[in-house]
Amino acid sequence: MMGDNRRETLMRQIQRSCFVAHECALYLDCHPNNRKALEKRAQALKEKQEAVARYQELYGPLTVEAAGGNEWNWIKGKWPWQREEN
Amino acid sequence: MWSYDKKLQYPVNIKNPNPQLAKLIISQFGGPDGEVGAAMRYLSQRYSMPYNEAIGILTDIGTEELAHMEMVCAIVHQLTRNLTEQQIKDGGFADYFVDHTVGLYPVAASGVPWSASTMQSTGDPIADLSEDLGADATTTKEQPTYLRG
Repeated sequence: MMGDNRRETLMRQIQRSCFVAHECALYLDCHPNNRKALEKRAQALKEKQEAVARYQELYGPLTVEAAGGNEWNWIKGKWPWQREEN
Repeated sequence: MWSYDKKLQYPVNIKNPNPQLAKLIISQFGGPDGEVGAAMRYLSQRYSMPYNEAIGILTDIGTEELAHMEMVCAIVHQLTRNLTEQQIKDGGFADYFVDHTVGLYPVAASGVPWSASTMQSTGDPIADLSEDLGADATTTKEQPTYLRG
């Protein structure tokens, strides 16, 4: 159960930082010189990358490019729309 | 091209099945103002945009709509898990179930399948962007609809 909490916490960190990075990208599409948005996005992406690396190390790949292993691990575990409990 | 991230944009974790609610929420998947339409609208319109700003934002928003579609599908999927025959009948879900069981089919709450006739791509950037403003405004309508549902 502790592992589940940690997994959820890491996933929420990834989701939060991805959301910030994406919102900044949308803003930058029409305001390409906005330094504040560029910096905020860079910071969010840094946080995302750290959380993704940790998550993938513990729980498996989040992208097909990160998949591999001796046995193909992309299809292991739950898919995002499946509830954890059953 | 596109690549897939094995995660939802925002978590969906629904404890209790509710086929009645699923029948309303599925409109946000395949209804006239749903996510399939939104993604197809923006991703189709971008080719005739004259400026990189507009092409970029239609590409990025259109892509995000696919992530919204996945969340809506996750909601419907979880609302229709492990339904009993009685829940299907009592929840008014039998008419959907007879054709689609608990598969995700892009359809409006009224039962009309998703259609490209609910969107436009004119090749005229001003006409298309005006349509996008109209489409975007529908989100304020949809959110309270679900709360009332």
